Amino acid sequence: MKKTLLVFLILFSFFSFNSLGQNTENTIEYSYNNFGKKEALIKRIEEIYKQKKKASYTKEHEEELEKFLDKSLKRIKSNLEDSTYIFNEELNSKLNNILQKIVKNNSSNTQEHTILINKSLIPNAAAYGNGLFVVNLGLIYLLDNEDELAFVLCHELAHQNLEHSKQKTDSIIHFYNSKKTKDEVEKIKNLSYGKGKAGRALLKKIRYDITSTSRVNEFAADEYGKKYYLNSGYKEYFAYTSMKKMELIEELIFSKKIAWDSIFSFKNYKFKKHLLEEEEEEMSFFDSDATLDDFEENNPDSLRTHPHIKDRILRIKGEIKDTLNIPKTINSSFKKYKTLAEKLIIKSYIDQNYLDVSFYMLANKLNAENNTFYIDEFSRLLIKLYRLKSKLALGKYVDQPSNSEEKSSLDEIRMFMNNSSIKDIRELIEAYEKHYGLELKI
Amino acid sequence: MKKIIFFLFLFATNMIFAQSKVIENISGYELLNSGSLSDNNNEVDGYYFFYKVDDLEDRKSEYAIVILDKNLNETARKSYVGNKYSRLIQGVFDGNQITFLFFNEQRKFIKLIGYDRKGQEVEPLEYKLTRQDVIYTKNQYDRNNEIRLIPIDKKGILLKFFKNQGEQVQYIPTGNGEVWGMKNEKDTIEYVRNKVVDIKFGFFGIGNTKVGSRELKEYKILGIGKSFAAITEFNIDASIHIDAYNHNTNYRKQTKSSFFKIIKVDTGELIYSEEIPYKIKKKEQFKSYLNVIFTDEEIVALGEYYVGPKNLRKGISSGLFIEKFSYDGKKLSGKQISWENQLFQKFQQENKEKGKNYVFFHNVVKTDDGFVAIGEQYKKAVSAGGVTAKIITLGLAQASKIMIKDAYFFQFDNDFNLVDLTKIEKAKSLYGGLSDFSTPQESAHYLNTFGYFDYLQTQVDKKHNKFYTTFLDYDNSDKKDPKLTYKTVVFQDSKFKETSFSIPKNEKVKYTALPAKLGYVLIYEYDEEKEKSSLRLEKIDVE
Repeated sequence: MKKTLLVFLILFSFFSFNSLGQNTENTIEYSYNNFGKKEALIKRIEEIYKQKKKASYTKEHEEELEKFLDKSLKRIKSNLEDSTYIFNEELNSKLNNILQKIVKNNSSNTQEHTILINKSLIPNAAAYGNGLFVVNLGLIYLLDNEDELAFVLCHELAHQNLEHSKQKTDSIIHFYNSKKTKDEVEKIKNLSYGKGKAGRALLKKIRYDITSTSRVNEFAADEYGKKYYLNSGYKEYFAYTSMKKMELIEELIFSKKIAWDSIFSFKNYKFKKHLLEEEEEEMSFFDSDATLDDFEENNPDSLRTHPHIKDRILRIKGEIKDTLNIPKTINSSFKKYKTLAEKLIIKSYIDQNYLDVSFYMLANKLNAENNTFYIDEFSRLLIKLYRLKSKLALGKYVDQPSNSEEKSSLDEIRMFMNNSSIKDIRELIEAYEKHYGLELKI
Repeated sequence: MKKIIFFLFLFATNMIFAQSKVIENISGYELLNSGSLSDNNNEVDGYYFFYKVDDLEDRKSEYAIVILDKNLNETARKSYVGNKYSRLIQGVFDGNQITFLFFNEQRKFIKLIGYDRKGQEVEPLEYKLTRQDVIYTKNQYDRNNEIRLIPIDKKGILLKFFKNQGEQVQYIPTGNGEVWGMKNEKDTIEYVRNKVVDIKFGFFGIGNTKVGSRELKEYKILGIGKSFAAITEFNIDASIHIDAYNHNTNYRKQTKSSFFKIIKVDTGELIYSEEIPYKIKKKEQFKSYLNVIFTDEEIVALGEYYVGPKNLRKGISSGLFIEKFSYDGKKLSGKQISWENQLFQKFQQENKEKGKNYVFFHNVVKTDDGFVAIGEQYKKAVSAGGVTAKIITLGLAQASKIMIKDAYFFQFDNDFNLVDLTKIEKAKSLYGGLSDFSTPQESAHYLNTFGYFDYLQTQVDKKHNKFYTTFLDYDNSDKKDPKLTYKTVVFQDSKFKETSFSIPKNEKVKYTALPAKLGYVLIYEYDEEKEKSSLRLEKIDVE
């Protein structure tokens, strides 16, 4: 089930959406299209890709390299258009300031840096080389202070300075265009029987070669990143907690229980708890909860691009003095960035109609924080839910619950959204309107 | 979020290189077909996707069968090695095992393979077929899917197929139980192979030659429930002809008599049997059972009755009948409702041409208050174009057509008194009937055999006294651009409400609506440009 959640989140990050472009007190604007900064940014990224083309190690497969980079550039431009990459003055400044501080204290590279913020909830960051970085909103949402965030940026800066992006690009192009690969492909094509098996084995071997290099590079980036981190005056302990949180991502992101009665505690309204239960008896084909797979090609451990976090933490703990006595608290000055990231995720996910994740993030905010942002966003969510159900389009954005016996909060939300009738949602909207004194247009 | 079907292509690296595309082509899985794992209430338990993985030696192939549950969660990806010409035609789940039915035209067999609760393959069953069996099987599969598996909850499966030139019904237990079957005896006719046939040419067609005759049995499964099956067994005199044009043999059939049978499925015990002679006298009646439902208390059969041989031959029924049976095989009651007396009056009043409108019944459903019979209105229509064509072709073209119109729901109380009639409007469809000389009823049966009526299926939600009936329809709001629509009529709170899903017209994305778990529809989208397919479930909902 956890794997399903991750796959869901990963798929999520590739979907595009359009911002409504409203800029009122309680809404947050995030599309580059509305800040007059997109053209300059595109020019800067184009410049980066020109540099990348010039800086290739090998001229052997120049044409293929150019195609590869052109496609990558096209994807980034497209993601700027569809607001996969978002702009927020405060968050962009914060990230730039941290990165500048690290660069200044390490004087390792004087190159100009550009950070793009991806709206994804997945806590992740990436170095594209030549000064281009991407940081996901989910990372800021997950981490608790500047030190933890700085460690991730140090790690990415190390990737860049060690030219891992360039190495990876070159190795992919080499693998696919080498004479050896071409000969192997030709041999497989001429096979009368077992062509598919041989082809998949070749793919697996190429993937293994690429990912094993990638895992070595991750350890190297941790090692160099640690040096940048310490040189910049950040606290050792938070390098460890930053990594630890990556390991516990699933528990941290979807661990909260939904207080259904409390969320929908409105006068003259009783929440229908049966909406959280399967409408008909659950039935499984097999006794096992896990997927029965006769094919080995899926998710083999050897094809991970990153080493296991616990191995990475072990290395860091071995080299950084363990200072576990530092209290684990959320830095108050950092809290506003976390909140901002959370609001941006909520808004962008509602904009994209991914209502289950945004419901989860909003659910326990309504009563805990009397903030009009959350109240307004929740009303927007309910109206979208009503409209999508009316158009038989909810399933495009909200899955059915997983088949795991142990249902997560996200499963509960999906059950509620799928089981509710249009009438149920309308009644809920009416009660919500009265409770918060709103006038909503369905 | 929608599910991406072609999840077997998991290679994540950017595939822009010529070499990588070549590798993708040789290593990819080819989707051969897919289908739903349904039960007897048309509820979907899950879905299967059948992929070819590899060509192997000895004319074998490796296949992958990917199984999703009813919520589209992947539960298994099984490898199966079989003959390269095998077609997977159906999959069912009976609670004990998932069973797949394969048909191999070239090697002349049908085969059942199954996976038990642990996901282990069970001993396969193979039935050898003759060339005639293969032709019949192929025709039946292509037309109305009469070669099929029927799951019996937690007991086993019924297999209806064609062997020894006759239909067979065989029960295969998947838990405890005995194998039993209803079958034709082995054919006694020696076929004349490679015989030079004396072809008689007609004015506008090619004749055929009779080479033999025999007695045949055919079976119609009327309903399954509570581990009981109701079956009509038709006894037929069949003459066998060689079609000189298609170089095929075919049957000309004439019904002798039929038997209505109720059988306890897990033992094969016949609990009720009634012979219904086809040869009747002027005032005698013939019963044609439409379907049988199994309530907690009794077995309820619904059908149409015909009075006199002339009406029977022309398919003109006199009304509906209902019969009730106990589970120990006793006939409890029977009732007839004539079109003249009760039922048809309101229906005819709603449709202006009195006596010229008919209903084709598809199903009957038990509700808390009684029964609902589900039908579609049809009538004979003469098209102006048809008349002109008839004149030009010296009478060979058909002038008369059958018009299929609105859906009708006839509500009865528990004593089968008509309580109400509900019309659900849908677009007209016009089809050529059987011939200008056939009755509308005869044409309606012919059209139903070939799937021309708009009725698709009914799902019953007994727990909530609710059912869903789906029809194909057209959204004509934009007359220049009508859209294919799935119209679902929901019976809830003793009222009929309707909702519909129009298939969007998009040159790049193709849509299909498919059966799903109770109260849902499965929407399949294929984006031709991106070569991506997706599936999603949507709740059928009415306010």
